[in-house]
Amino acid sequence: MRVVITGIGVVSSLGIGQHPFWDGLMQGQGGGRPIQNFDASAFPIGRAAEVDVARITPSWLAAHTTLPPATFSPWDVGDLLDRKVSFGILAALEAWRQAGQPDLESAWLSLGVGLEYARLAQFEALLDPAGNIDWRRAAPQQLRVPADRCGLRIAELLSIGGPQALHCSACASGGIAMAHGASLISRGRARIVICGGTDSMINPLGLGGMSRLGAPSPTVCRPFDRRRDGLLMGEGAAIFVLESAEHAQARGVEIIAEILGSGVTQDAYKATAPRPDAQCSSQAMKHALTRAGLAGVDYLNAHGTGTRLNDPVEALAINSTFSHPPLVSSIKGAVGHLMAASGAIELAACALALKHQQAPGTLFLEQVDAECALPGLLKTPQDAKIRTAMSTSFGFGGQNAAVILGRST
Amino acid sequence: MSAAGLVDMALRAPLGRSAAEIQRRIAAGERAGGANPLFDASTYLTRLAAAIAGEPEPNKNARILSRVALFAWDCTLEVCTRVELPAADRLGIYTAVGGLRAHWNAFMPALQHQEDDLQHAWNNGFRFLHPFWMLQHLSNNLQALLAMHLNAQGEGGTFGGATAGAQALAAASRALAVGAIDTAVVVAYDSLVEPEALVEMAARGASTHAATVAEAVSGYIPAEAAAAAVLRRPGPGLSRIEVWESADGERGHPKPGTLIELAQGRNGGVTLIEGTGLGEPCYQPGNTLDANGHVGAASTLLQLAALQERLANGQSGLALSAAAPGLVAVARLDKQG
Repeated sequence: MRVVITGIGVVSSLGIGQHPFWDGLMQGQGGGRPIQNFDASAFPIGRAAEVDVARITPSWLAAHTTLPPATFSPWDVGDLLDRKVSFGILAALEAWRQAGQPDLESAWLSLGVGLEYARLAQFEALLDPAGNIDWRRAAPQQLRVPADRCGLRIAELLSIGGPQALHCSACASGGIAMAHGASLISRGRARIVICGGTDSMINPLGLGGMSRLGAPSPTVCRPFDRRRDGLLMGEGAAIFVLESAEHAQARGVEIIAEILGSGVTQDAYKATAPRPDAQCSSQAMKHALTRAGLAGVDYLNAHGTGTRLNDPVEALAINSTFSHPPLVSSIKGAVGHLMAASGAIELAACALALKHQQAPGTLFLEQVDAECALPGLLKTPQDAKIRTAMSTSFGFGGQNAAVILGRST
Repeated sequence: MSAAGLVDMALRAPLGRSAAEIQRRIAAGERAGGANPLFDASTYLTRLAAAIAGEPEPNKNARILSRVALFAWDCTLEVCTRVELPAADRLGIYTAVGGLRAHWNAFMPALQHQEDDLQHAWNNGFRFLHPFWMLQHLSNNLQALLAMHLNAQGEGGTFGGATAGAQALAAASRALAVGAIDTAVVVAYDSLVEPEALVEMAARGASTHAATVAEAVSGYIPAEAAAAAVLRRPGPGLSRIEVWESADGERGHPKPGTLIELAQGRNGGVTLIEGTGLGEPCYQPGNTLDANGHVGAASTLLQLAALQERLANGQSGLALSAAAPGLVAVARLDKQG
């Protein structure tokens, strides 16, 4: 059964909605800015590709959803503090509206998400002056915002009545959620799926943990550049409406793109480093090509994190997979690494590339590392004939995902 | 719907380390639970807990995996030593975790000296986080480490949430059905016996506030468990498993009708039902989850192990699970072997 995309919603540091996202990419804009949603001034890294809102409130959500503020009255305070919840519903709402607001009573939800949000102020409030836990202070507390919460809010808002699948495979979560969502339709389990990813680690715990790891760049993210020195933390969401082609055609809705194939593999090498021979990451791409019935693609949106380890291995994977090199770029210099949502937002870039017949560039790429040489690597955006596009995601733990889109026919 | 063939299983639960042991102890009238054996919860509202007896096997990955994840490792290796595994690219690992929790103990050093508004948070404590804190809390660590150990390069993934076990089984079944892989190892684990989990469950009245197991007739006893199953495509001699899921949008536990609706039409010829174990309205003798305690994402696999143990060849059973927010799952096992 053919799987098509009928709606796309995006939230990123370039703006709320797919249009500012795409326009920003095409204009070579970067979303990195000083962090504003908490005091990060003393952290080793104070910049991130943060969505331009310091504090999410019901009125902010109402303004960006055009829904009444009372819609968000039942939300717990934690739901507002966990930014990915809001990003997820904004993106889901945009996608659903673009798809013509289909009935989702029997729809599935397939979502890639990251760490649960820990309400640090609540934990801290449990401590007595000596730093010991005083349980007398533990009156009804919500100490965590469970990862389920985002799916709940999306399902609640859009009246999604079907099952939910929550993917937690680190940086590959979004890509795997998309592959899973597509497989539910192609394997006859569902007719319509809301899927994608949402994440935000731009909070004290996320930034603190990544800073201790030394993962973020102290300057800018330069994918495939010989001076690359780390990633740019990002946040946001990309949500899609996937349907069977028959279901979409029966509804008379515009088809944006088609999911032609996907591949998921596991490096089985190390938890914290990619397999240096790129065999399994290449295999994920090859599985996707085989299932799509293709020998190659016109454009590839790379995982391209700007880290020392990822980029050369990915270049090796791409060069060993394609006999005819595709155009290649990474958007992580522009919108940052959205972690669990990265695969989803990068697939959105692929879909919009197909729609507009343009390819994004690789912001801040100036001097290509010889180890990352890719014949089709793009520094700047350009017009291009794009009939097929692939998005790749490689997560901590060695999970690899590749998803291929084709132009709607 | 895609069905899978059950090759073998292994488990670790409060009432035992095999399905046979668990059923023997349930038949003898045992019910897991008592004073929290893992930490002092005497001042908590939820004081009862049910933990797996003993400790996991010594493991070089102990710095990266939690206690219950180490038990999941143990039962995965146990079952995988009993079966023949295929080539690397034909073997997939599917893990199910209850939550992506930032564990209390791991970041307490970062919180002890924070200011009320978390100003100057880095200098006041976050700089004391272990350098690998982030990596230690990745939700897919077990999947990655098992894949390395078993050389599993095929399609797989990590699912999260209270019904993650059912999700993982369903995804593995679909992958087998289309030939993406030839063997799937599905591993589910969860522990509700953690400080932050106990505080929240007690606050919303989900877990029992009773002082003794005998008094616990409303609300569940938080527990921990791990289970692993090896699946192939259905075939002679293999019990057949199918999984269905649904949701009804409830913020808490789903409406009873949601589970009933999902189970209807799938219960033909069923002779045994493993219930949800939520302790509402009262404890159900003989029910695996009631006897072991609430084990979150590990529920479905634990129930399937019980059905595989209790059913005779040719008989069928259903495993019902329900969890917040509004999630339900039904698994059917048709016993062969």
